[in-house]
Amino acid sequence: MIRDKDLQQLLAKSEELKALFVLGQRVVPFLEELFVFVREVSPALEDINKSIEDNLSRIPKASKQLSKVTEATELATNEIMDIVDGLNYKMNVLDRNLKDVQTRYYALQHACSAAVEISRAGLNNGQMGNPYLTKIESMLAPESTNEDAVLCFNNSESVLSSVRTDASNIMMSLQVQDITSQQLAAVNHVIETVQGKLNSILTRFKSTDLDEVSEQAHAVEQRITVNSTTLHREIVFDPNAVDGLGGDKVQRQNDVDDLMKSLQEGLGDVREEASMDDIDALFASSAAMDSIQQDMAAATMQIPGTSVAEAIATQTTVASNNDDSDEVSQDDIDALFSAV
Amino acid sequence: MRFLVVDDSPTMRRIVVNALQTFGWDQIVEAQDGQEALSKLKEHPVEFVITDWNMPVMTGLELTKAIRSDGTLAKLPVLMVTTRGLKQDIIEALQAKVNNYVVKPFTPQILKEKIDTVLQTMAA
Repeated sequence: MIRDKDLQQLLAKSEELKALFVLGQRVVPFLEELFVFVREVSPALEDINKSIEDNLSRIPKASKQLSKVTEATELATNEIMDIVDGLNYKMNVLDRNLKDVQTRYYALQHACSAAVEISRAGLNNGQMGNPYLTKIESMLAPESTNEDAVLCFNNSESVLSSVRTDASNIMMSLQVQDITSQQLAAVNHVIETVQGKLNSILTRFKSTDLDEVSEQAHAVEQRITVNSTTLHREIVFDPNAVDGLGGDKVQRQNDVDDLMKSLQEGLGDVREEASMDDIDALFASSAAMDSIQQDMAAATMQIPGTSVAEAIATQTTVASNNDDSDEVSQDDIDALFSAV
Repeated sequence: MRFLVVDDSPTMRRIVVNALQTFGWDQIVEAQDGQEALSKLKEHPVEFVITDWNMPVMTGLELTKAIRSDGTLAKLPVLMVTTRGLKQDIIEALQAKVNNYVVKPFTPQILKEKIDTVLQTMAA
């Protein structure tokens, strides 16, 4: 016999069951849409995965190619320098030869002059107007022969000097090898970094068939925070090295010199007394730099009796008014060091 | 005068050596990193150090600091020759007490000028 209380409970459960069915009816379409979405996305994910794997397999090869480029560039550069060295040697030989010819020429001229004098002395004894003597005198005339010879030697020396300058310029231009080498190293570093990052993404999708890449990536991850990479030799690079190739090289050095001067003037003659602690305290942190900047106004008002630290601080503040990432020229550096 | 040229790039070492020889300085010792440079300094009497900054094992900056902290080497003139031309780099070089600073690429004349400047300053 069902009691009223039991009947009420049964009805309540029925209501709950009904609500569950209603919820199911509403959820099923959503789940169906979700299944369709996953079914559509899966091939795309597979494609992405395959693409990443393909690219990843190419990166080590690209790295080797970069290494070969750097090695070949270095080899070629050294071959060119061998040639330039040989050219320098040949120019020195030529220089010596010219001097030798010059010496011999003057000696010959002196001998000829002496021969003419001797001949004249002999001819004056009754044999005037000898055509050979007239011709010799004409050829040895200072206004023609000497002038030509001097011009020839001066021109040769000028050419030699120019060739020396050219050779020196070629040698200096080859500094590009060092700079491009650093740039290639930076590119390689990027590739290695991307390789490591991609691998970490891949391992989330798929943990098989990538053991070798994973090992390489792990080794790379140990180094990605350091500006160093291994091509045909280990290269520690300046990622901004290529900046030196553009613009006015002389101006770049001048800017550096100016900065050096402006910083160094603050040290003045008492640089020896400035301890590393003083300098460290001044340059150690941005907070310290801020403090230095605040002191600058006061420091610039104190001419005599200014401490070394304050002097450095003053100059440092001048240099710090611009972004520290600014390129400076050699003039800035010269200016800085000239006061040492 | 005997020079020590420190650079990990054989090309750059050769360029610097060539420039020095052009000006008649032909007593030159070479090292490929800071650590080797310190070893060479113990072996050879050197009167002037020209060093790159970016090098494996030990950088030019670390080499300069090591020289300055060594009682027998502390007064050795050090010229930094580097591609690094940022203001912060110059400040770091000053902190390490380099005697002068040249940015690559440089001309032989600039190199000589800086060497002469350092030598004159040291002699004063």
